[in-house]
Amino acid sequence: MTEPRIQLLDDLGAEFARVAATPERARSRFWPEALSASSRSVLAIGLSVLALVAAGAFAVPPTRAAIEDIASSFAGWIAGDEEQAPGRARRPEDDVPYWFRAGGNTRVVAKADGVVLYARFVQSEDRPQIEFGLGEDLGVIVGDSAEGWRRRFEQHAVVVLGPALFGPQDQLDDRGRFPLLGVTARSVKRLELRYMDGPSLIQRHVDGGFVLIADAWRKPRDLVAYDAAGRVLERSDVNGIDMRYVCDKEPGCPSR
Amino acid sequence: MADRGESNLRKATREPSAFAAFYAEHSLQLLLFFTRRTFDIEVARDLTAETFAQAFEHRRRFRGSTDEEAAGWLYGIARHQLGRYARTGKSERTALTRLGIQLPSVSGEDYERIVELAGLADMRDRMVTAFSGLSEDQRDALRLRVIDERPYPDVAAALGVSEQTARARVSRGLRRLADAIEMTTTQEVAP
Repeated sequence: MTEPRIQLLDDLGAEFARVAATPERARSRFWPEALSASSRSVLAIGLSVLALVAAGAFAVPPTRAAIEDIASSFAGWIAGDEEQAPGRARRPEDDVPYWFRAGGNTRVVAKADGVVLYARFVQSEDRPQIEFGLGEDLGVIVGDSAEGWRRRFEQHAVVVLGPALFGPQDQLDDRGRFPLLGVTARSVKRLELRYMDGPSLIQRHVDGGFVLIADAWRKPRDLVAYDAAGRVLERSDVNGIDMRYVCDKEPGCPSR
Repeated sequence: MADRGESNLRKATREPSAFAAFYAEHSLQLLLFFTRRTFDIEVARDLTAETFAQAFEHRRRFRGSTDEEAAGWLYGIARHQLGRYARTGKSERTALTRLGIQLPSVSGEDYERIVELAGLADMRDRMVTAFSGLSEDQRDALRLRVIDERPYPDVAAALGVSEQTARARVSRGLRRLADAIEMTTTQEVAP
């Protein structure tokens, strides 16, 4: 009898075959969609920053951390310097969701409309680990070793970690929007999410991370990070994060 | 050289490409294993993918050699994933993230086929029967906790009982529902 075909298993099998065929050292560790999309676009970071960062590692001394990418702001945290860490330390009144409570030194990196981006630093079995919690009632934990994150973050001023849901029932809010979360270098002070059409979404006062409440009914194009002087530090391609399919199931989206 | 009868998982400790054969042998049954326990095909897909990702990452820790031992080892990871999901309501993606594996979407065709293969329709009938066989107290407790997803203090307040009693009612109700579907799940190949 012929085995029934399940396309998703075939596709997943192809992914494992690809990973198995990749030499371990070269294996990609990127977060599947959002992160790989942004990481592919190594963009307009200033040459001076690039030159300094290229020689650096997570354990950069504080003086060098001032000239930084995302990796260096996390380096301060790992080294125990809370001043250099993104966001703020967790407070007793923070209602950390149950799925992100266990252990670790937890920080609130960014927050908007009740959706929080958490980060925690965990000393696991053999190596330090950084995990990000995306969402509230229903969330996703994105984790990797500190070294893995350093490689992803170095030479980037902005990295998208992924979209989140407002809750188990409502993927979008009542205006048809979804949370988009990520981290930034400390020099990033403003973000602009540009769509394929229509006005951009601007977020000011950025401090190490972001929760953008983005329109799900419009296809996004790129996320632009600016410093305090209005210079473009990086443009991250986000057109892979197309949430328009969710609009078909949610009443909040304006008709397209 | 591979020994005669050596499992593909064992081979994969030397030749990573053998992992594809190990995946092909077990992926469908594992997907159905998770589907029957979560009643959610997307969650089952996530748990299947993460289980194989962890198996791939830790394949060198596998100490057995036969297919049976390899299946037992894989289902050990699977049960751990399922337990974590039951406790947290979340499927983990840590190993998938580390490996950079993209999760495929579930098409309508796949959905129908998986429902059929997992025998979900039959299981739902059993669940409905079992649910109606619960005491009213247990049904109310389960409805509040599982369907409405309310925290235990709320469940207790709504039922006018202590939190401990509310937890006991939910627990006993779930146990009886689990017993009801046991007849179906024990037909699986689950080492």
